[in-house]
Amino acid sequence: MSHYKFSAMLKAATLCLGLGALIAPAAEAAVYHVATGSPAGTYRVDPDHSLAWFTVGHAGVALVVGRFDKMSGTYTVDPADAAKDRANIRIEASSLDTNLAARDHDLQGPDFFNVREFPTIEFHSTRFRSTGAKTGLLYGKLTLRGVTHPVVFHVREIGAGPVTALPKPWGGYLSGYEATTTIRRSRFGMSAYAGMIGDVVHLHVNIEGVRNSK
Amino acid sequence: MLGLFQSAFVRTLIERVLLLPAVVTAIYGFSLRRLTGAAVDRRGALWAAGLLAGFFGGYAVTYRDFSFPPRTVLSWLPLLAVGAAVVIGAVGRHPGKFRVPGARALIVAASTYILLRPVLQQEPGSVACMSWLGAAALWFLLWSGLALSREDQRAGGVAVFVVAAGLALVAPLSGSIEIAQFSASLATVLAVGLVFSLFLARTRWNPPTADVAILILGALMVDLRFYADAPWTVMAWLVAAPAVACLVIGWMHRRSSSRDEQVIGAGLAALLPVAVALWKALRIYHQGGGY
Repeated sequence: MSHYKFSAMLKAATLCLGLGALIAPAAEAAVYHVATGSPAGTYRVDPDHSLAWFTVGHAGVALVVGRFDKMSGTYTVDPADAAKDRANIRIEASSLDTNLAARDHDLQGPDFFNVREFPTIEFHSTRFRSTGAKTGLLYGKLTLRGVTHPVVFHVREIGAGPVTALPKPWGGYLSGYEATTTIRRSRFGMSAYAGMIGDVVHLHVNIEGVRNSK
Repeated sequence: MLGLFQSAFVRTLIERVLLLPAVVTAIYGFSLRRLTGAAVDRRGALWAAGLLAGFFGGYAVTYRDFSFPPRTVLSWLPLLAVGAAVVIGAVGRHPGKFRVPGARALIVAASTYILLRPVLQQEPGSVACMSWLGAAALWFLLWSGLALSREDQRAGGVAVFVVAAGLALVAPLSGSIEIAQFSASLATVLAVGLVFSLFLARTRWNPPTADVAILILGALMVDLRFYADAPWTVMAWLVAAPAVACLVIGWMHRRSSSRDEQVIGAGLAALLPVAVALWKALRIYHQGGGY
């Protein structure tokens, strides 16, 4: 091996080691971790990273899943005083998607969500009761098809903290929650296909919020 | 096919939508015949109450919404139907060429506004106004044509029966089983009423009997188009059915055809457009990947 070739290999090895030393900390930073900051503050729901979905029994043999893609609203979290916790969520009923256009058309019609007459589904909280470090019960009123009934959501905080680059482009302070509850659709005037479609509906809400103020 | 009728779901639908309204109307019919005795003429106007009783039987067990003020567009059905029966019944007792048409025009204007209000509120003013006036004018013309005779409205009743039966088949394919259930109940009570008045009791149908049926049918068609978003082509053929029946009734009326001829003519005239509407609805349903 000539001296020239040996020298070139040595330079290449040095360069690789140098680049590796630079990349290694960055690779370590890319590992996913749950943000553990304080969730305190008032947040605006990020519609791009939030959705509501439901499951309902079908024909006594399976569960059908549907989701609402358009959601807006605000929520306030105060770990020091639960009385100040608030959530006001608004869902566009016409954003319903069950992965089948023909079924979506029927579900948006007068038998079910009746979206021409009642374009929005709303939830307004009345109080929050903590049940653990990151869990609690959110009491409030759900308005669906123009009918309002009290519901209780089981809420779990996923994480909270500063996030670079989200919302784009400069990042911000975010928090996220998942909430679940169970309703009877007949109580909200949705009785069509009783016997073919279950009466009990499990609601799931996944929310990501951008903090507006502490 | 037999398996379908063994299903508890289908059986319940049939019992609630067909059997209950039929039984209620039949009981009313027998009671009416017994109570009015030989005073056959008094039964003509009283049939409206029989149709309403039967229809509300079906409405009560399927929709169960008698909220006041009515909560949804469909919940307005009982109030509109009773209101129309009372107004037309009262106005029809007094002579006057324009009283009944005037009352119908007012009822149609009010009903269309009430039924379309949620939709009209979401549209620009001029579009909303045109939609309201267009729907009201069409409804009024069809109503006037179907309930042409003040002496006997059975020809209009038969046409409404054919369209209601068609609507009961078209509506589930076009977005609403509840509108189908209401239509089936309406068709059933009309069928029972017509059997009584054509074969058993031989009584005429005086206002507001067919008027009530036309109002309910019109409200269901408005709901199917504007809230269930049924395709325009299907709706056009469904509207064509009473329109053709109107022309036939008017033509036979001028020719002084017999009542039985008018009844048969109106029914047959409505049949073909309804069949086309059903075929169109089936085709669109399958094209949309019917499930």
